[in-house]
Amino acid sequence: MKERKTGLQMTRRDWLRLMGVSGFAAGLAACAPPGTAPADEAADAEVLVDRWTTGLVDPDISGTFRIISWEGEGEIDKFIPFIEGFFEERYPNMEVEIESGVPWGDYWTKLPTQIAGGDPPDLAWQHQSRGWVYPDKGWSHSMQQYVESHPPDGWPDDWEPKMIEMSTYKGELHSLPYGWVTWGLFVNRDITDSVQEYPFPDDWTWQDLREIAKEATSGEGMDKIYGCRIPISDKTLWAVSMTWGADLFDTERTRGNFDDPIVEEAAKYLWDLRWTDGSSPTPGDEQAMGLGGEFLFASGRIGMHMGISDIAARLDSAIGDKFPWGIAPIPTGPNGRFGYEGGAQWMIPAGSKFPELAYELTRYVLSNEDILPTLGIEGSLYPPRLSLAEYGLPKGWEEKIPNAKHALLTLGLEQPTYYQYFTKYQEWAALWSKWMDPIFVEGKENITEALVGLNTETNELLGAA
Amino acid sequence: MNTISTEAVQSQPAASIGTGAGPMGTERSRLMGNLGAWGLLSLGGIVMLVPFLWMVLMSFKSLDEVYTFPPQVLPSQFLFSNYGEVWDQVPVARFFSNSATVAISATLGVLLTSSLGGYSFARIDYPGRNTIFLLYLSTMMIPFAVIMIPLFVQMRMLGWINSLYALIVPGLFSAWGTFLMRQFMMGIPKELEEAAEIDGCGHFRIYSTIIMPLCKPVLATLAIFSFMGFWNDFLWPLIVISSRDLKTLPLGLAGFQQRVALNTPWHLVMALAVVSVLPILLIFIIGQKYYVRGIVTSGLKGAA
Repeated sequence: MKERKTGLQMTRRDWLRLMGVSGFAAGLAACAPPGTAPADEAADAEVLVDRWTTGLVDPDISGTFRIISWEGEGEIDKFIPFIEGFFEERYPNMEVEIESGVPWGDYWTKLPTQIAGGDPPDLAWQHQSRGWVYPDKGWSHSMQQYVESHPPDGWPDDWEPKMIEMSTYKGELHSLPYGWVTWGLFVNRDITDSVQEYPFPDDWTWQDLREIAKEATSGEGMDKIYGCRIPISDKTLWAVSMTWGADLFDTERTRGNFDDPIVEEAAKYLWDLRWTDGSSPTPGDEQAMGLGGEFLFASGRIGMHMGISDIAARLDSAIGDKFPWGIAPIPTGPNGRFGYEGGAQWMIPAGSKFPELAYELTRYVLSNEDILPTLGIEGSLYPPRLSLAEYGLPKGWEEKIPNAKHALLTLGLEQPTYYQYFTKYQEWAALWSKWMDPIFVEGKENITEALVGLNTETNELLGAA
Repeated sequence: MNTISTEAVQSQPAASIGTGAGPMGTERSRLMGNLGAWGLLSLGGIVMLVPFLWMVLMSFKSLDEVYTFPPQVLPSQFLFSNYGEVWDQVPVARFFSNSATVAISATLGVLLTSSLGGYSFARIDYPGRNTIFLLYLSTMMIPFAVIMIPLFVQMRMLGWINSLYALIVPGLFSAWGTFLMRQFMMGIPKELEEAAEIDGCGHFRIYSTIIMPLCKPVLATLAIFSFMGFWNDFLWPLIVISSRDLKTLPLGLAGFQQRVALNTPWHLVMALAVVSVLPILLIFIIGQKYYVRGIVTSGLKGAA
C-alpha cells in the first residue's frame, strides 16, 4: 500500500506546482515597467537658474522626460552629457529616458503610433521630409510662441535661413534645426588626375562631369572602374533640373512639372550616365559587386562619388592610405548650383507632457555656442548656427583637403532654395517608384512616357488634375 | 512512401534496362522521378541553408574580411572572440532574458487558451457555436497595422506601455491556434469522450485527462510556431518598449546594427544574430518529431 506523505513532505507533483507558481510570480515581477529612481537625493541639490532657464517651468517639476531618436549610439552619445547635465543642474527631480537607434523606417511608424495612442515622447528627432506632414496632421507642438518670448541664441540672423524655412509651416515654427548637410563629389585622384586637374574648378558643369566620367571609366566586368557614382532619386533629378532652370513642382507644391522639357533632359542625362555611357554603376552592378554607397568609393573603383558632407569623416577612415582623394563642389549651370540638402530638427510631439521643458532643453542644446562645436565634432552635420557651421567638417582637414570647406560648405550654401517636401510626399514617393524605377533601376528607355505618367498621377494626387 | 529497389534494378537483364517497357521500365521512371525530386529538394535545402551558413561564417570573420571583395566564404581565422566582444558591447543576457520571458509566457498562454477554445468549438455543442467560431476566425483577416493604435491605447490605459506585459498579454489569445486545436480535436473519436462521461467525468476532466494527452503533436506544433513568432516579433515590441532594459533580442539586434550609422560592425551583428537564432533552432530540433506529426494530422498539410 502506498504510504501517505504528511507534514512538510512534498510529492514530486507538489514540488513542480511550487516551482511553477514561483516561476510565474518571478516572471510577473520581471514584466513590470521599470520604476523611477527616488529623487530624494536630488531634491536637496541647489537648482541652477541662468540665461538658459526660461522661467516657464517649475524648478521642482518631477516626472520622466522621454526623448526619441533614430540616431545610433555613435551620434546620440554626443548629446547625452549635455542633456543629462541640463536636467541635473536645473531640474534635478526629472528623470531622462533617451531611446536611440530606432531603425529609420520603423521610427516613422513608432512615433505616430505613440502620438495617436496618447503616449508620445516629450522630444523627438524630426526630419525635413516630414517637416510639413507633422504640423499638417496636428502631430507637432508649435514652437512659435516660445521662440518669440524666449528666442534661442543668435536667432534668427545667425541661423541657417533655409533650415528655419523648412522648420516653419504656415507661419509657425514647429521644430528647431539641429544640423544640416550639403552635397559634394568625393574624388579618387588616382582615377581622375589624368583626366581633370585637381582641385576641380568652381564653375564646372554637369556636362563636364559626364565627360570626365566617360574618360575615367575603364575595364570590364568585376575589374571595371567607374568614372562616377551618381545616386538617382527625385532629389538628384531636382538638382540637375534646377541647375538648368526647371523645378519638378510648382512653388506651392500643388502641381507637378515632370512634362517640362528641361526635366526630361535632366532625366535623360542621369539615365545616360548609367545606361549609355556606363560610367556610373547601375543598381545591378552594385549588387553584383556586393558593395554600395561610400563603401564602393572606398574600395577604389569609383572616380567621383556624389555624397553628403557628413560622410566625409567615415570615408576618411574607410579609405585610409589606399588612394589620394579630394572633394569637388556640385556642378553648376545657367540657373546656379544646387548642392544644399537640408537636415534634421528637434520637435515637440503633440501631447508631450512637458512642452515648455522640451523647448527649454532644445534652446539650451541647439543654440549654445559652448555645446554646438562638440556636436559637430568628427564631421557630423553642420551645426544650425552659421557662425559655427565649419565645426561640421572633420577636424584637421585644412591641411589634408584644403578645399573641403570651400567645396562643401561655401559653395553648398550658394544655393538660393531647397528641395521642399510636401504633406503628401510619402504617398507621392510610391508614384515616383512606380514610374521611375523601371527607368533608373531597370534601364527601360521610355523616359518621356514615364515622366508624363508620373506627372498625370502626381497632379491627381495633389488635386491639380 | 516509395522506396528505390536497387536489387530489382541490378537483377534485371542489361538489355531490358532503358527500354522503358514492362515493370522495370516503370521502376526506372519511378527512380528517375525520385532522383529528380531529391535533386530539387536538395537544391531548395541548399538555397535555404546558405544564408544561415553565411551568417555563422561571417560571425567568425574580422570586419576587414567582411568587406573583402570578392567575398571569401571561409574566414582566414575563426575569431571566437567576436562573441565575447558582442557580449561586452551589448547587454545580450538582458535581451535574451526578456525575449525568453515573453516567448515562454506567451507560448504557454497560447497553448492554454487555444486548447480550451479548440475544445469548446470541437467538442461542446451549444447554440451559435459555429457563428462564434467563424467570427473569432475572421479576426485573422485583420492586419496588425489596423489594430496597432487601438491596442496601444489599451496598453496605455492599463499602464503597460514600456513593460513586458504589453508583449505577453495581447499575444495570449490566438485565433489561428484555436483553429489548429479545433481541427485536431475534431479528429479524436467521440467514443473516448462518451466513455469518460459514463465514468462521471465533466468537461474539464475530459479536456485535461482524455483530450490533452492525445493532442501532444498539435500542441508541439502550436508551441513551436508561437514561440518562433514571439521570439522574432519586432514591430509591436518596437512600438511599446522604450527602455533599453526591457528590449528583446530583435530590438537589441536592430539597435546594435544602428549604432554607428553606415558603419555597422557586421561581424558582431552576425554573432548576435547567431545567438538569437539558437533557441529557435534548439526548440525545433527537440520538437521536430511532434511538429511534423502535428502538421500532418491537424490538416495543415494538404494530404495526410
